Amino acid sequence: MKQVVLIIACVVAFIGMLVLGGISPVEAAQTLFTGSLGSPRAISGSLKETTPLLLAGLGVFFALRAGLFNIGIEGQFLLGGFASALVALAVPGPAGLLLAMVAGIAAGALWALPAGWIRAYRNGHEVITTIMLNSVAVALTDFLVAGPARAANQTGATTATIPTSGRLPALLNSPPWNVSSGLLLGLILCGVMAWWMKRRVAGYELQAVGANPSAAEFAGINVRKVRLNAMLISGAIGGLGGAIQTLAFEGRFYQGFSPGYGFDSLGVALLAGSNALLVVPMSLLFGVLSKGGTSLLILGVPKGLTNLVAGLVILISATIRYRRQAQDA
Amino acid sequence: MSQAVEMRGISKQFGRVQALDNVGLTVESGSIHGVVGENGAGKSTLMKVLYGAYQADSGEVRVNGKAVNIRSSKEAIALGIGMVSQHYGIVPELTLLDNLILGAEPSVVLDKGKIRERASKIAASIGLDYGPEIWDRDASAMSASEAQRLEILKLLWREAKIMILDEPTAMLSPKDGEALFGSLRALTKEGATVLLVTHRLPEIMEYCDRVTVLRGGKWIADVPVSEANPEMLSELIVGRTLTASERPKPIAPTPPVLEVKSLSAARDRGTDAVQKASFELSPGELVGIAGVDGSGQAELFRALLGVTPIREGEMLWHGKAISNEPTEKRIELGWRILPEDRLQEAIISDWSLIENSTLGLHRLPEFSDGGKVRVPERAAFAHKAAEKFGTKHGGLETSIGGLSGGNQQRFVAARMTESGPKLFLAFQPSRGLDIAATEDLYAAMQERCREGAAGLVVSFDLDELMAHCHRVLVMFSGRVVVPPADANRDTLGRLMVGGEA
Amino acid sequence: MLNTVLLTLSMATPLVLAAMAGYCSERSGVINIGLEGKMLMAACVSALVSISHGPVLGVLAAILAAIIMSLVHWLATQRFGIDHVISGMSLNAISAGATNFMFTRFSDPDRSGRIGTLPPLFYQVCAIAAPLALLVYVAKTRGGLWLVAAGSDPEKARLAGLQPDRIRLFALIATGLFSGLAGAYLVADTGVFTDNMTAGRGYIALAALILGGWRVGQTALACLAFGFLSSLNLLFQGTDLVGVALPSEFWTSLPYLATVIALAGFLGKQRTPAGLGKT
Repeated sequence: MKQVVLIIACVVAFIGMLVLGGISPVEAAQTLFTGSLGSPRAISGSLKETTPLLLAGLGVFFALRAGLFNIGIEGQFLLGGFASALVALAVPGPAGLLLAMVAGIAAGALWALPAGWIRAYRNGHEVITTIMLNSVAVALTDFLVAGPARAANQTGATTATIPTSGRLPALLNSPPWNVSSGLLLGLILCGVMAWWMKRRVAGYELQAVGANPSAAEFAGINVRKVRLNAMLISGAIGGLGGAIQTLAFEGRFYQGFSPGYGFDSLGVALLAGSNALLVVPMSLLFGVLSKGGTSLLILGVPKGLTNLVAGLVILISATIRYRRQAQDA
Repeated sequence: MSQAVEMRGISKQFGRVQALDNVGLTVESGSIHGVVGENGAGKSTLMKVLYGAYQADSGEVRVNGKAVNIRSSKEAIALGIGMVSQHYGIVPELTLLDNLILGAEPSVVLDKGKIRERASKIAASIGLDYGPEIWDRDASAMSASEAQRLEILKLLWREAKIMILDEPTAMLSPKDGEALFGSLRALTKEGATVLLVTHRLPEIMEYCDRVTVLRGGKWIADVPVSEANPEMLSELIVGRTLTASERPKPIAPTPPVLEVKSLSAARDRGTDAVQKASFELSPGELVGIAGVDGSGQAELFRALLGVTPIREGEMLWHGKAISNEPTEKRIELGWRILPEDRLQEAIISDWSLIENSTLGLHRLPEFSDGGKVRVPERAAFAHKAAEKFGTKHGGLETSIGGLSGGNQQRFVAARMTESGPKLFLAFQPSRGLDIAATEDLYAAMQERCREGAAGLVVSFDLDELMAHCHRVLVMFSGRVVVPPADANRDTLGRLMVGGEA
Repeated sequence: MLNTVLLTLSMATPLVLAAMAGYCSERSGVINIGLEGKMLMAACVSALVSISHGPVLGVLAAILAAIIMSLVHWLATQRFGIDHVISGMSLNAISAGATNFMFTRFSDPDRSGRIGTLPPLFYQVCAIAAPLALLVYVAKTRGGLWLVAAGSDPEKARLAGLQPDRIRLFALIATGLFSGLAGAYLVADTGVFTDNMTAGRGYIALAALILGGWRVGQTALACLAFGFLSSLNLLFQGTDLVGVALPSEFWTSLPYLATVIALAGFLGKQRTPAGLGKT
């Protein structure tokens, strides 16, 4: 119910901004719709935008259930995308594909490790550490891809392109339809996560830590370990998202690989609340907005508008749900 | 001698609870006057009325002969009344000097030099030699007695002439306590009046001029200490049993399952909340821990369960050391707890009754199968737990936060008794329960004991413990006192307030 | 040599101002991730208003905009109980989107040349005056004492008769003032406004605050250090240092890495205000 209210608020805010900018809302709505859902190509494009948001959203969601804000999903995503590109280029074929995914997952987890450890064992707020590490991730990958990892025959800052044999196959590839199996992976992961949260003892403990760390301690739960593991898994999922982005869509890693999926995925996770399955529709919503937003550029509507609306939605969503979280145990 | 404070006919009700019922208090200027009683006696409430934190429903208050109506702590201070509460109002990251003047700064721009001068003078008046280096020290490093003294200096800075001290020696060593009273005596010689709220007999006998006894919100007696003795006072404080109730007979001693040896834990500002606790539990025993709230019971439970680390001493379970085992392991061995703070420590309010039913038990083989949650078993247990003491709820899938406190208590208590405990720790189990439910709960606990478990119950109601437990220990000022085998209610009552057996 | 010093001061100026903004907020107990957004909004507003209404109004408008954002943060955290972090991040996103929108929508694409602003020297003087003023304020006035008390233990402060809510309100207004100046400086320094102009400076200022242990003097020093690093980056671009071509990304990452190490406790005990995030 609350989600509906939020979506309405979102739409109202959007319209408001358009009017302020002197754009006809009706025209904008039409363009938005046709741009994102009006044709097989548009829908494919929306789904393509949705996939990284789905995965990053799942990563943030996981940490959020444990009471942690993994803003660092952006950096984990980048490192996952980069590592998987390197491995896929080094090891050709399906074997390389598999290894590349593993590399992406590992890279993401590794990048989440410092923040996770600092929060679990030093009680340093993970928000700050992950924001810092995001910047380092951007700097690191930018440097590597402009120099040592740069493709030999390219002038731009990018790796070589991975041949199709080493990439994630399409799920549906009859033009104009083009849906990647990466999306399917994301949907499966979502289902697994929902099941894990409800049916596994570890999921029970994770959510207990997020809901009431004191009670969790009295229940014999090792709060520190749970927090560290939550960050690691969250980072791993972020890394997987980056790997899928490389292996399914981009085929390479380059400067500017991620247009800031990080913040949007925070919105996705917050809107999903306590239900993992809701991450799918929420990421779809953001994906549609993003794809539609691109077409709105033609109308003169700046890209920043979706950012703005996302921010408003999150702020309003937080009023309803996320009351002050004091740092405990 | 004039009267600094005169309170007459003070009544105060909170909801259905009559915290104060027609209570009076007369305090002579320049004296140290004790206000004494156990939990729920009303002494803190009475002082809060005097201090302006509460408004009385009826009655009148006179300060230095004049009738007054104190509506806030600001007005109290203006009349020269100041209170030092148990939980020091000291801001850790400020210096001593800053803490001294916080809220009572002499001006917008602070001349620290002049402030230090006045501060040192005030300190000297109670025999403290505080130079500038002391004033600039970080307040977070202060010991309990230093914090206490700073609180008194704060009152003096605000020119309080009537000082209320609420349980001032709670965290002090005997030596520091003596020093404190030395300072207080010095103050009364200068004309100040001290109101000492306490449940500790020794302090009253040693330091007070007069003492007023409250019990259950009613005024009981007002006597000069010179005419009183500990036995008489403890009787007045704890009361006499009106009827001889049936007591469970102590069981024949068998080898203990739990041995606690010299356990100290929960250090705060240099003092342990639990000091060298030593006692044993045998299977089949339901042992009560009597004592006034704040004597270290909650910290003892936390240390026993392993939530708080032990500073020194050891615990043995069936002869094996257990102090280093994590809480999860103790639960596995059959330990169960009903914690002090239900909302914070026992339940997760947003979760359903079903989800809460296995909180703490979720790793046991009955409820988990190789990492998987055994959903039907959990639902069955939730059903059982809700039925046991008649928890009223709107469906097991609804959140536990929607239940009343009493119903939450029933559910959580059942979780403890119906989960096959070998040792259970129950803190104030009857809180929120009516008499019938309390009886049911104790019956269940006794049944578990008959089946071979051992139980430890903390309650502030001595009669409740005496009616249901095989043995009663007493906790006072962090120490566990093992009473003599033939201890009767009067003895226990005396021990609860720090008297001799 | 002189070049380096001047460059350092220039790079450090917005950092110092932003860090002082963060100091006011966090010292009073309000976590502030939103420095970036406030600075960016201030920069955009100062550019737009300076073009149409002149430099003085430009600065004032910038400060006002930042103060308004700050007040929203205060409302969200103190009155609606929203998590401080979420509020800060949302405001950053809103600012990024709004400035992008405002700039593309309201600026004149045919316009060229420097925007007329107050001289950078004005801001540099502010950047020196601000830390000094705050040092004196905290050490020598009643208000300063209240500020630290509210951020250290709001509950105990209340017991002493203080009103942490109101203290935080004034603190956040000061945050708006300083971050407004910081944003306006960016435009004054370069003469233009570009999309996402702040480029993470808000986060670097936060890093400086953390590394400086939430103390004015040390924070300002950290800002100078970071300014120095940035200037080194510019000066040494392309040349070898210690025989290895240290990439510019290395220099830009250093503040962030240092903060993470500090938060891990490897640079001594963290002196976070104890009341951060509490009411």
